[in-house]
Parts: sequence; C-alpha cells; structure tokens
Amino acid sequence: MAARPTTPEQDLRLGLLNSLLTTPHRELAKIWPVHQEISTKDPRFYVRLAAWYADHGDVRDHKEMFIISLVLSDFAGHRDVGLALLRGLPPYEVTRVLDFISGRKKTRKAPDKVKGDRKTKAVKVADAPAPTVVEEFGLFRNPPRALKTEITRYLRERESDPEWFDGSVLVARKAIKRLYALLHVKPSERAQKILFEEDPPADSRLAGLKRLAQASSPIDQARTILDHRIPYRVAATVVTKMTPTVLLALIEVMSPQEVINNLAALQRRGAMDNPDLKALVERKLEAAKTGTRVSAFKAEKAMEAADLSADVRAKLEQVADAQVKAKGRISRPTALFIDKSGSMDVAIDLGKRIGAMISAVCEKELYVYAFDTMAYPIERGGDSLASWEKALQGITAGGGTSCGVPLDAMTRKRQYAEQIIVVTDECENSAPLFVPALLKYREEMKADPNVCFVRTPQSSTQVEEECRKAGIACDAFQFTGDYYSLPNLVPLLARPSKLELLIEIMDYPLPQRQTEQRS
Amino acid sequence: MLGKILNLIAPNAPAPVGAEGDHLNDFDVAFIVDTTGSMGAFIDAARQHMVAMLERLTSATATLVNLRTALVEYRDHPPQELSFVTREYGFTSKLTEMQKTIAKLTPSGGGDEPEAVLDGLLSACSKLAWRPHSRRVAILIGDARPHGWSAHDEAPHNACGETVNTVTAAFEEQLIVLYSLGLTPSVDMPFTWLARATGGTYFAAHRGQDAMSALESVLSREFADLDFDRRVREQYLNDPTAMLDDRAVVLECPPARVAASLSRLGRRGLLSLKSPAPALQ
Repeated sequence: MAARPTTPEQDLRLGLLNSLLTTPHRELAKIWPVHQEISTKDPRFYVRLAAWYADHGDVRDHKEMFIISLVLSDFAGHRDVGLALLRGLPPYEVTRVLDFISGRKKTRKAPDKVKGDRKTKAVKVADAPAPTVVEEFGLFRNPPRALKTEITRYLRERESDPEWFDGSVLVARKAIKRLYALLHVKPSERAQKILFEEDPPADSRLAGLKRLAQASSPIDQARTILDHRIPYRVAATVVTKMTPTVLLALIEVMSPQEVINNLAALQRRGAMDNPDLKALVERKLEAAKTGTRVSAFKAEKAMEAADLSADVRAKLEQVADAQVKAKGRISRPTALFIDKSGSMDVAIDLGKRIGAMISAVCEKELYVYAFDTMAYPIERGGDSLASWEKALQGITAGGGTSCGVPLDAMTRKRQYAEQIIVVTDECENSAPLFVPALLKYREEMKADPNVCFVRTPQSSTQVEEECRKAGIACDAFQFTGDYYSLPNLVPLLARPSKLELLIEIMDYPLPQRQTEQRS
Repeated sequence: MLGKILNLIAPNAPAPVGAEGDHLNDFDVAFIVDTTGSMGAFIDAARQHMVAMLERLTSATATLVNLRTALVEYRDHPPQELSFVTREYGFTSKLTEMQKTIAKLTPSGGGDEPEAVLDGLLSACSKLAWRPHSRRVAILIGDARPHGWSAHDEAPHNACGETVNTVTAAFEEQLIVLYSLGLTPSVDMPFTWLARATGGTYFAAHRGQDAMSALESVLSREFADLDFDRRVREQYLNDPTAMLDDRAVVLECPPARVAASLSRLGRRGLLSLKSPAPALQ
C-alpha cells in the first residue's frame, strides 16, 4: 500500500497521536497539558481516540487522563463518553481521577538542604519540629455533578453484588472508603459494616481475611487463602511467615499478571528455590503468553526490577514477545535502517530491540542495514534479542551520516519494501541524502514505502523536514530512553499506514453511558 | 573505505585491563577557541581558571586520567583578518605547557561578525595528532557563527570550501565528539547543530561567569563516563556473551547507559569480539 500525501487535518491528528504515543508516563500532571491540547485542537478526534485507547492502550495514566479531560470538557458528548469509560475503571483509578480533579495536598518531610553536614543540622534543629513541605497534586476544581452521580452509581453497582464488592474492597479498601467519604455517599448497610465498622458478614471474603490473620498453622492459612481467594499483596500484610504451603496457595489464586507483578517478591521469599512453587510460577507465566489482560510493558519491567534466574527471565521474555505479537502483525515487506554513525551511541542497541520486536511480528521480508556512509547488510535475527545481539556484533558507532546509502543498496539489489523504519538522529551530513535516494528508489522499484523515523534522544528533525518539502509523508516516533514505550511502535507498523490507524480511530464506536446499574 | 572494511573484519584486540598498553584512560581533549577581539573576557577567565579546573577534575576522578590537551585558535579569513586563520598547539600531557599556551593567547581583530569556525574545527580534526584508542573530545568556544552557516544549505563557503556538513562528517569519521560552548545567543543554532551532529551537546554560556562552569560540567561528565566505561569493560571481559539487559542488572544501571558505554568502548577499539563480524555483501 503506497503512502498518500496527508491533508493538514490529518497532519494535525498524526501529530497529536504521535505526541500521545511518545509522552513519558507515570506523572499525571505532566500529561494533562498534552491531553488538553489534543482535546482543544480536535475534540471530535479526541473523544474517538479516548474510546480507542481504553481498549487498545497500555498506559494507565493516559486512560485516566482521557476520562479527566472528557469529564471536564464542555464539548457536546465528551462528558457522557468520559463517564461511560469511568465505569470500566477499577476503584483505585476512579479515586485517582477524582483526586486529580478535586486536587490533593500531601505533606512530607522536607529534604535536608546541605548534604554531608547532618550532625551540625541535627544539633541545631533538635528541639524544633521537623520541617515539612506541602505538595499539591491536581487541578483543585469542583468535580462536576454528573461525575458524582456516576461514581454513586459505580458504588451502588458494586454494593448490589456482594462478591464483586468484597473483591473490590479486598484490593482497594482505602480507595473505596475515600470515594464514599469525598462524595458524601451513604453506604449500604453491608458496605457500612465492612468499611466503617470493621464488622464484615461471616460469609464474606473480608471475614475470611480476618480469619487468615488469626490462623496460626500454614495449612489453615493456605485453606483460607484458597477458600476466599485472598490476593497476594493483601495476604502478605497479615501473614507474618510465608511458608511454602502458604506461598503455593497464594500463587494458585494469582492471575498471570499478578505473578509477573510480584515476581521479585516471590523470588525474595524463596519461591524459585522450591521446585513445586517454581513449576507453578512457570505454569502461570506460560498462561501469561496468551492472557488478554497481560501487559508486555509489565513483563519487561519485571525483568529489569527483579534479580531473577536466567530461565525465569527467559520465560518473561517469551511472555513479552507473545504479548508484543498480540499487538499486531506486519504483513508488508519492511526495511530497518540503523544509523551507526559517529554521533550515535544508543541507536545500535535501539536497532537491536526494534529488530527483535518487529521480527517477531513481521510475516514478510525484513531487510536490515546498519549505515554510516556505507551500508552494512545485516542478516535478519530471530525473535529474540540474543539473536539480534549476534546479528549486529562488530557494528560499532563511527563514520559520517548518509541516510540515503542503505536505500541505494536496496535499489541496487532490487529489494522491495513497503515500509521503512529509520533509527537515527537525523543529523545527515554526507551524500547520498535520504530524500533523493528515496525518490530514486520509488522510481526504480515502482514502490512508495511509508517512512517511519525512530528518533534517538537529542535528535534533529532535518530529514523529516526534507521529506515534507519533497511531499513525502513520514511518521516519527521519539525514543526518549524508555525501552518500555517501544511496543507502541507495533500498532503503527502493523497497519498499512498511520493514516489507516487514524481512520480506524475516527470510526471507533463510542461507549454509551449507562443510566442504570448494570445487571 | 578499505580502512573501514579492515576495521570490521579485524577489530583491534584490547589489552588486558590495567596492563601496559591499556588505553582506557587515554583522554584527548582539544579546545577550539575564537581569539578575535570580542573574546577577551573568556580568555582572561581561561588564563585564571582553566588549568586549575583541569587539575581539580583529574585529581577528583576515581580513575587516573591519562589526559592530553591541545588548543586551536581561529580568527577569520583575509581581508577581514590578516594575522592568521587558524593556529594549532599540539597535544601535550603537561598542564603547565597548556597554561603557557593559554597565557600567550591574545584577543584581537576579527572584522565582520562571522568567523572562521569551520576552519578551526577542521584544523583540530586533521592537524592534531589524536591517539588511536583515546576518548576524543573537542570543545568549541566562541561568540560568532561560522561563515556560510546554514543547517541545510550545501553551498560551500568561498573562503575555505567547507560546510557544516563536511566538518561534522569529518568529526564523525575521526570519532571525535564535539561539545560547543556559545557565549552569545547568535551562535545558539549553529553551535547546537555542530555539536548534535557529532554526538555532543551545546551549552549556552551567555553570561561570562557561566563559561568555565559549563566547561567543568562537560569534562566532569566525560571523566565520570571514563570510570563507568572501565566497569563496563571489566564486566564485558569477564562475560563477553552476556546480554545487555543482564549487564545492566549486574552494573545496577539503566540498559541505555550500558549500551552507550559499550558503543564508546567499541568505537575506540577496546572491546574484543568472540565471533567474526558479519561478512560484507
């Protein structure tokens, strides 16, 4: 499929989409302006994007921020979609949405101004109260009445299903209490007893948790965990000694995603040293490969965070690979160019990771070249990073930058690609330059490949600008050093073009707000 | 071209860590300084603080840095400036010699606003004797843009025939990272471009007192990298086949930092290869 020139509206949307896909996560305050900008510039696109992202996105902060923006928006239809999406969030995220809108102050101890002079300071302020700083988080606005109504419905819906309510309270007790308190919602009699009177009904899971705290033998503890499906992070707060029997019960009730999230803790508690426990963990990881609610990000993050054995790491890598594969398939011949010029320090490693990632999902030819002022053909590695490490062994940074040189090589070899990914800082300084080489390639190969630049940190936009001047549509993905954002590339590359992705988003059905409780 | 092929097929084998011939601590830094009339304040500051700062940094670092310094001064082409276009003072390991060189610098002349920046850079690249396996850093300090500056214009400047592109390509070929220090806003764009295209960074030091601290920050970061590179290289030699993520876990730092370090070591020819490099087609 050939790349078509985009209209100014499409350019704007592509730019907005790109800024969203490449924004660093974990800080709501930082992504608020990005969402505001998109919502203001193109409200019709924004609401579709929110619905699409709720089903296909990976970053929790963005999902919350979409709802915040929509709920506060004056644009017709936005609020209803935001509230419909809110109903799908777990309680702790609903609390985060509410907290961000109404604002929250947090007091914490002030950091010492002078390091290395602690003794002197301690003497000076011995009698004075510890200095504190107040941090403000959120917008400090009144939550709209419709939001209060929706959260009340959200709580009533859970109250009417004791099993659901107990499960929610087990993992998010504080958050749920906060929702009742902040919005002055009167709890049902049962909710009142569980949350505010510490007197849960005897048959509830919360009573089970109490029994777990009182149980002394590992057998009783394990039975209670299994009977009431007490989650690991809750049980860990009441069980003082984690015996293998207790761990076995806990891992049994864990979802594959919970196993991944808690791998480091399980390792610390010796789960990997016990053959039975390890086998159970591995079984869960196997299930994670096909799990629909497992995140590739989390699997990769777990690999970094935990001091894991080689075989468990390999298993996690398989989970991440399988989840990346589930994000889409690339069904077009693709070329990957990796800038190895003297100015590039991270591009080669980045190229390996992208190579391993797209190799797993690319069903057609994948041509790979490293380049400076020469093109170095690289044999396509397999799905694993190790095979790409091997494929790129001996390639070190050095030489000038000619982004057109791998295209010339492909033209000479008559290698046909419909998509080109260029990992570069775009500081092109030697001929053949990218744009003339691409024009020549298009003409000689009768091809019109899409171009996607993966920009390394501190890169320029020179080559992209040259492309636009020549009327060549191109996408750009800014790599900021966060490897976990890389799977975001797959949905972009899996579609015939980013334009197709835009069309898919614009056609995405909007969720309907439910005025009654769900049955 | 042949050199590149040979380098790929038979990369330089490293000497063992700490042995004679271990080039890991070799650090060559060239200062490329505009010495036209307007640079008086910086040159005065450099006379007073530069060498002391270098001594302080090299003594503070955990690794014994095998430091050599050089200096290239540039002015302008005739008829704007008749004294000289560039003047080179080769690498020396003695900081006292560097002190004497700096003491001799005299700000003078310059004529019109743009100066012979590209000539200065090219001289540093081609006329200085950089050591084969050293970490190569050049620091450009100036307050005027280069002649014929344009990020996208390929037309060479008449006087020297060079463009920003040819100069940055030469730096990349020579594996020299260029940091630039701009003393006026007019050089923000060209100096950023020059630094970025070689893998370096631009520092704006528009207030006189910022210049020396910016220099200190560049060099202390580079020396810290040298320490880190030593750790990475030791880890690499202990386990050449380990995956990058595993190395990052062992070294307790982000994978991207280890990747950058391996890249620096690789380009200096300080990493050995376990298996032959891929054949060129």
